[in-house]
Amino acid sequence: MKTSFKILGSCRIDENKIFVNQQLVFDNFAINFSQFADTAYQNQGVDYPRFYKMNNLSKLGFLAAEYLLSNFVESPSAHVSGELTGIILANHYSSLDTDLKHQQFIKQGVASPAVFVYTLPNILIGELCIRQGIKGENTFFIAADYDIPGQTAYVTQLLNDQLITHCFVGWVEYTAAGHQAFLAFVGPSAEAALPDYTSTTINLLFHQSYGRAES
Amino acid sequence: MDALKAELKSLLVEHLNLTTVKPEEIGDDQPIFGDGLGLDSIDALEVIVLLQQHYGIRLTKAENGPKVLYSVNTIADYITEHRK
Repeated sequence: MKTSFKILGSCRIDENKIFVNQQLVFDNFAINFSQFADTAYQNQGVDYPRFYKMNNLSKLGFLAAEYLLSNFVESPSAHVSGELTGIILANHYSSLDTDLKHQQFIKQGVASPAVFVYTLPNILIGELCIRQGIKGENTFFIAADYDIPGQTAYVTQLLNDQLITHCFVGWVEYTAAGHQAFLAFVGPSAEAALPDYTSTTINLLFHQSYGRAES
Repeated sequence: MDALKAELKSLLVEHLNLTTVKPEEIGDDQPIFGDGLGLDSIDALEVIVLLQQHYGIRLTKAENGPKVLYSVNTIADYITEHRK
């Protein structure tokens, strides 16, 4: 019998707003991303000083994962980490923001090792793997747009082939002009109320306007 | 020497993004790697770059690294000894 995979939880960060399962959970007036990220991090009450050393792309993905995992509909703690949990992400601009910073340092004569180590987008995946203990399949795709059907087909194949049982999927983009993160955690579930993991559902969660939650 | 140590502590906090640490909280003899300030190997490289940028000092022998970069005191001693 074919297993049905569900979206166990999702998080979207649009500028200064963080939505978990389509509900606004954090909204902050910040003059820049750095201020927003620090405030959102402190709001979670986690103690992870490494956060402050990350580049902005990694900070964005880190926050999406932290908020997603602290607001689950079902308790997924047993499935978040380990070799059977994968993480498949994508964006358009790769690590360009950090690449440009690195280039600037080189022009000034001395490169910064701490900046250089973040000149790949899959470092974000590495940060999430370290933090959450993820050890399964992981890939960061660079594409013109978020290829939701392609990513969903790939992850579904991994799940059907039982290479993994659960997977973080999404799109994390950071440039000086703006940022957006969408992260979903998918896996098998008998909970009928949870949305099915399909490209149509992911497309809806990624693109639809969430509006503001009642406070 | 005290001014150099104070400057070093400020530079460490600034360059290593030690957002949760105030310069004055760093002890002169406190180990800055491992259990001390919790710095890692990338931070060690940053400190080496910092020494080069701010004091014109190159740490030429890698085997001296752990001894020189042990604490603010050892770094300050090295700077004082090698500064041109």
